[in-house]
Amino acid sequence: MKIEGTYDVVVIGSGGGGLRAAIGAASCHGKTLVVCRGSAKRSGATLLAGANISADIACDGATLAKLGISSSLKDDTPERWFEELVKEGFYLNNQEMLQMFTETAGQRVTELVQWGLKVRGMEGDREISVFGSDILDTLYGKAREYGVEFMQNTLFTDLIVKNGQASGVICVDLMTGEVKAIPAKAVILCTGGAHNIFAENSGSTDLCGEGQGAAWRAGAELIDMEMISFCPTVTKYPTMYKGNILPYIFVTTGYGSLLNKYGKTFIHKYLSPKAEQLALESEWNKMLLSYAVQSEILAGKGTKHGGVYFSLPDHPQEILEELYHDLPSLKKGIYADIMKIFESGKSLVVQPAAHYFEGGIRINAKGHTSLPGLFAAGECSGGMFGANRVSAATTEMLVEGAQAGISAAMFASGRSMPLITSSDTEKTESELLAPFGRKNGISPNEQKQKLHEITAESLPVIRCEKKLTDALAQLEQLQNEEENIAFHDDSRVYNRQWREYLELRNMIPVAKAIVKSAMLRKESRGVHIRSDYFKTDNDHFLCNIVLQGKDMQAQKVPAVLTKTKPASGCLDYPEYIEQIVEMLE
Amino acid sequence: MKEYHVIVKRQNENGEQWEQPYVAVFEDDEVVSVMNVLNYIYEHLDNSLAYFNHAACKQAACGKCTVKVNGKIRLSCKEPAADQMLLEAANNNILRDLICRE
Repeated sequence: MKIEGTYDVVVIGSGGGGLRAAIGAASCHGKTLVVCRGSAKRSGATLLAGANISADIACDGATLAKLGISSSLKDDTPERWFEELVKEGFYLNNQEMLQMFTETAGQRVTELVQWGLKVRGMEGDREISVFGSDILDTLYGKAREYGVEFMQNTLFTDLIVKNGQASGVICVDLMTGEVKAIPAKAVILCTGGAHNIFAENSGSTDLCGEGQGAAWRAGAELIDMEMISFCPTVTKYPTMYKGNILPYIFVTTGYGSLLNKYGKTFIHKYLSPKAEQLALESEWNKMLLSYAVQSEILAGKGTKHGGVYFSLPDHPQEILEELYHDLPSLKKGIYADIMKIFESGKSLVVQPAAHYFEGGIRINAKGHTSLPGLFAAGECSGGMFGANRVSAATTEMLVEGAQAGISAAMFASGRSMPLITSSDTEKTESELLAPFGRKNGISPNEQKQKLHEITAESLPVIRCEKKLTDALAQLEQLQNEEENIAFHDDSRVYNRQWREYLELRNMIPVAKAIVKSAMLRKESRGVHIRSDYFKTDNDHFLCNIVLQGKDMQAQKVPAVLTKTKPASGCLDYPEYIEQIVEMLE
Repeated sequence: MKEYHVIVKRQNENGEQWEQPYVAVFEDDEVVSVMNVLNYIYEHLDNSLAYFNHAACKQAACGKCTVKVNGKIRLSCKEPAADQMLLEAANNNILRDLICRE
């Protein structure tokens, strides 16, 4: 294997989290490389934040007033915001991390504005509205100023662990097929969520859980893996627009309605009037609407294409005119194409789809994982938002990225460059290349389809023991079949079958980690809903679920509650939500 | 069911070129993109076909999935598929099939 370059800090991922981490490391004089799966500014999850129409970045209202952006919450404090986030996360947030989040978000937003990010308006009292592509352009420009290097179209596969420390990374150049090792004093994983373990997801094709999978293989811990936010109204049909979240943007701005196969509204059947109002008018919409839509589909009232209808009224005409006025982006590009569907009197079929992973690699407030030399930030990490993310993931990536960048540079400055030789990489290399030359095996795309069937059945919005147990056995079988995978195509140059094999090496264990965690959490809390344990149980489950070791030993670890604790007791899931909401008011 | 007859101009890593016909099939009332057709070919007909897929936004935001559709440069995720399409790499600096060097 070719051993290429030496760096103080290698960052995996070039979304907002990776770019901000690289800036943090380079600003502390660390020689920094960003490994990008796609192109440096146009891959990862950040690009699609808010459908690239209206991504939001949150910080305390006082900072926004100081910046002259909005004075609607000018007396806001980090403490007040903290109290809200703890309740929204159903008390599972790591409160040390959350304190860092609320206290430094203002600095992160202020510097972005100073670096030239264009603010396009407000989305809420604490949320500025921006384009995902603008965030990437701003951060990329700054990273280049700091001398950060970029390696594009390169798939990260594994960490090199030497003397119990992360000491570099192994990657595949997707264009040439070359496998290479990059020695580093510290590594920061910013690979985003594992959206593609689900057939129905709102992410780009690059979100496959590389960071979570590789961290687990290297011995790092995972946390809160059962917590996955679904976006309630992601396009399912027509196929051409599958995965598009425009209907969700409409729901959050108040336009349109959800109808079952009979053309009837249904949200009121599953939510009390108060919860329904929250579902339609607040940031709680993801969790509550996903629950309602999934319930209606499970009740057999979905359309022939699976989901429910999202309909925009075409009369009176003024409604659409006003919509175009509110969201001018709808007149251009792909959105203009989608609007033609509505204007012709048709609807989109939508359903809940995997959207955001609260859980991930376990980190502390400084971005350290349980493996020395390994750091993580953004969606691939876990702990910040507990059982439900209501606030902005963009803020998370900035806050955690900046922190991990500094921590990694500091770690690197106290360490000499690890010496990597081929004996450190041989075993991994042969595993990566194993299917080449095998005849008559299973194709990786067949395996991916099987994985999608398993996750659709066992890990929808509403879960139960029986299906989780079945899924665990099926996933273990899928993992065993890995050694029977073969390719029809021997070329290493842009070989999609090979790439899918490398993705499955992470997607199957990540799915297993989610199933194992979901089985152990025998209650319903936040985005984790169990039909067989429909109560939120503060007496037994005020804890995080942590996975350790090769066999993914799952255990309950007390939540980090440094400031605020909830009342004890056990309440029905919807009742508990209403109680939380009352406290927030 | 509706058939989409497609010819893909292919090139292997040794520079050998050839034209390969495929027939993708979708439901009558489906709306599909060129990218959907390429995915169909990969999943059902020929998993050696190389086309941009490793970091695709699928929503016309990243601008990376360009191909020539009947001679015109298009984003494969945004371009509605039609019957009788000729698909080629976006420029002459071909790495493999529909993938160009950057």
